[in-house]
Amino acid sequence: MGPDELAELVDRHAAALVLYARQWCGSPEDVVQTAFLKLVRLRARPDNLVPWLYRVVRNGAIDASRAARRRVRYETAAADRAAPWFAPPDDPTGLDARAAADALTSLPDETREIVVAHLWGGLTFEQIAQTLGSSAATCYRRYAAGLAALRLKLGAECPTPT
Amino acid sequence: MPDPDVMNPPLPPADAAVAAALARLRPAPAPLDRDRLMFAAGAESRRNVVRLWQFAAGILMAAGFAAGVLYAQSALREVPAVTAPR
Repeated sequence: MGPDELAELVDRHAAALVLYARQWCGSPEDVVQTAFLKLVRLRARPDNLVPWLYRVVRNGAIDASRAARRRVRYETAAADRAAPWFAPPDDPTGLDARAAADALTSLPDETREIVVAHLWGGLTFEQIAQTLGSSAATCYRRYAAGLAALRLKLGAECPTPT
Repeated sequence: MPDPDVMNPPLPPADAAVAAALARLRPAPAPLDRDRLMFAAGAESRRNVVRLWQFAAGILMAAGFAAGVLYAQSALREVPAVTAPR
């Protein structure tokens, strides 16, 4: 993989990958950087590059989270400096970024990761299913359930369709 | 191959509105040091080149060693002296 292609991948996907990894661990940027370096080390380019990146980031983030759990002090410090999940919204009438992050945090892990991968990673449910080792139908059901739960949490703030 | 997302039943409008509102939020910029990442990626790809070079050198060295052993064995082999009949 050439440096231009890698730079484009980083520019396009790094923020969403960091958001995805942030669900599990306190140092998501390290996990994402490691995933990109793993990609560079590969002799052959993966068939489904973006789902491959998400799978590597997911595994790395879960491993990092397990390691952090063993270091209670570190975890406490990481929680104290928790970074925001979203950039301040351009549209002041839109959702509050902090409320959205809080609502997402309240979802079960297996639901939240699907919502994040689909909405911000742009992965299809088929690609998410490949990443999680599940079926696309199951992923869609969890996504729909997650959105329903988010609507209840954010209901007052969401624009209602006319 | 049809997009599997198309085969799923549509979301209720209220949930679709939540999805649209959420999707308008942008993930916080990745706190990655892009230059450091590109430098590390360059070092990683260089490491592969070095490994290839080392592998080729190893093969050549082994072949040279084998050739040397064969030559030494052939030199040590006793060759019966043949005298021409008178």
